[in-house]
Amino acid sequence: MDKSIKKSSLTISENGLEKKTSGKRLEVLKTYKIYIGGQFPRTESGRYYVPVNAVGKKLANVCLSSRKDFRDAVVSARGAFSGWSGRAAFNRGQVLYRMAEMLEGRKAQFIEELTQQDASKAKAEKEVNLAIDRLIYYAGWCDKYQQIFSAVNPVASSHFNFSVPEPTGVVSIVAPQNDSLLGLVSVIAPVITGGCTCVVLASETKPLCSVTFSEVLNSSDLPGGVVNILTGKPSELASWFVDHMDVNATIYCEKDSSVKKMMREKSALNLKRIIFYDKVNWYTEEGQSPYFIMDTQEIKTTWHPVENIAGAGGGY
Amino acid sequence: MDKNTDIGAINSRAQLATIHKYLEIGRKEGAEMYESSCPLPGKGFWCRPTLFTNVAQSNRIAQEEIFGPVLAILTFRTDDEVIEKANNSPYGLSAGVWTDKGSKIFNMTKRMRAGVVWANTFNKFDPSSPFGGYKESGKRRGITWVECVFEFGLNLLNLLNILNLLNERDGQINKKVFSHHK
Repeated sequence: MDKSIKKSSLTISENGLEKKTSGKRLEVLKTYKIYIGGQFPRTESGRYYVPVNAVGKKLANVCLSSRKDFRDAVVSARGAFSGWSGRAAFNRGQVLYRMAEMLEGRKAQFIEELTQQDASKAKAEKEVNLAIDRLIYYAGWCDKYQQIFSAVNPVASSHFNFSVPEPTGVVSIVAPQNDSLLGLVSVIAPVITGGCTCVVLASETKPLCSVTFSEVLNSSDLPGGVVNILTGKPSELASWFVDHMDVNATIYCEKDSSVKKMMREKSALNLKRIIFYDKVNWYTEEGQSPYFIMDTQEIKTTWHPVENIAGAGGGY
Repeated sequence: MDKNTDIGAINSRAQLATIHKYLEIGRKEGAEMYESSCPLPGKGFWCRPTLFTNVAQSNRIAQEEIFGPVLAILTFRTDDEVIEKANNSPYGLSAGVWTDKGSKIFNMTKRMRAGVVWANTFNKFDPSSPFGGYKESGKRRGITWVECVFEFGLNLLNLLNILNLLNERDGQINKKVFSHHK
């Protein structure tokens, strides 16, 4: 007996697969979702926007994140802080290295997305390579910046007095608009190198790489909540980024003077640290430095008593 | 308190009023107040050394710095509890820990979110030792001089606005306290 059955015009084989191949397969399009607490939710607001490239081609349906999404992200960033900052510095370095490995493995996808967003093939390749190298660079710094920026202070009294950098906490970041991958990696890496956790608003006009980068983060060993990535409009979210009282520092990477003024005013009221990276060229050497790590560190000085019997000196 | 201990006068009438405002707030929020019965000189802005017990973490005398001879006492049983309580404040300028165990000192000082941590001492300063705070106590610390001057110019206007706001807020609080006295 013939094993295939005929139902109207469709031929179905025993295992359910169509025997005759149709002309064109329907491509599965990627849903660009946001990244909060190691999960990929859609925006709670249900809003989307469609960025277009220079020739007017629609890039994707991208989540238009709301204030509530931001607040959820801050909650997971705060929750992840003690665990991440409590990791051994060497282990943080291993995790950053692993992120670079994962990024290397998906190079082609990033180049593809960058070229969709108007970059030439050569420029896209350069940007992805630099982004990978930047992660490696900061992976190396994880267990080294403390030694360089720490000090033992020669106080006059009999105390062992030392100052060490410690992570400030949750950092909100409005990422660079143009260098949508390299800029994003360059601002996230020093923050997490130092043990902070962050909530990042990706480039509004070129958001594709940020979502794919969050998939890289998810498949590396980075604990959920250490990096949270939102897509949406800085014009809508930037003020909440500075307003939120459980955020310790805010990084802004654009030149918009009205936003900078707004951030200065708000931070003057709630005493949040604000850091502007609007003049940095991420493609050059100035785009990577341990001083970027120090921007989101606090200095703690400890006075520890030293036994000093009857005014004994330090002689041998 | 040791009989040899002297406490000087408060430096201004305004600050003395602020301290009295906080004493009133502490009492109203339900803390128990103990004050020395020592006589005060007639002239000058004097405040008696004051202790508060039964203080809740949310009380303003526990959350805000009074800048006066006032101690708000909270109690704890475990290390984790005291760290939780010590870090539960928007500020983080300095902290102190007293213990006879060296390793415990480092356990405590590592976990406290403050710019300066003193062990078995307090308010020690030295020109070779940095002084600065975490969180809201640490505004604009650690940036270069030039940037500092620049930022200062930009922030002057903001600062004036804030001073106005604070004045308004304090004005309201003062009004309340004074009306309560009447």
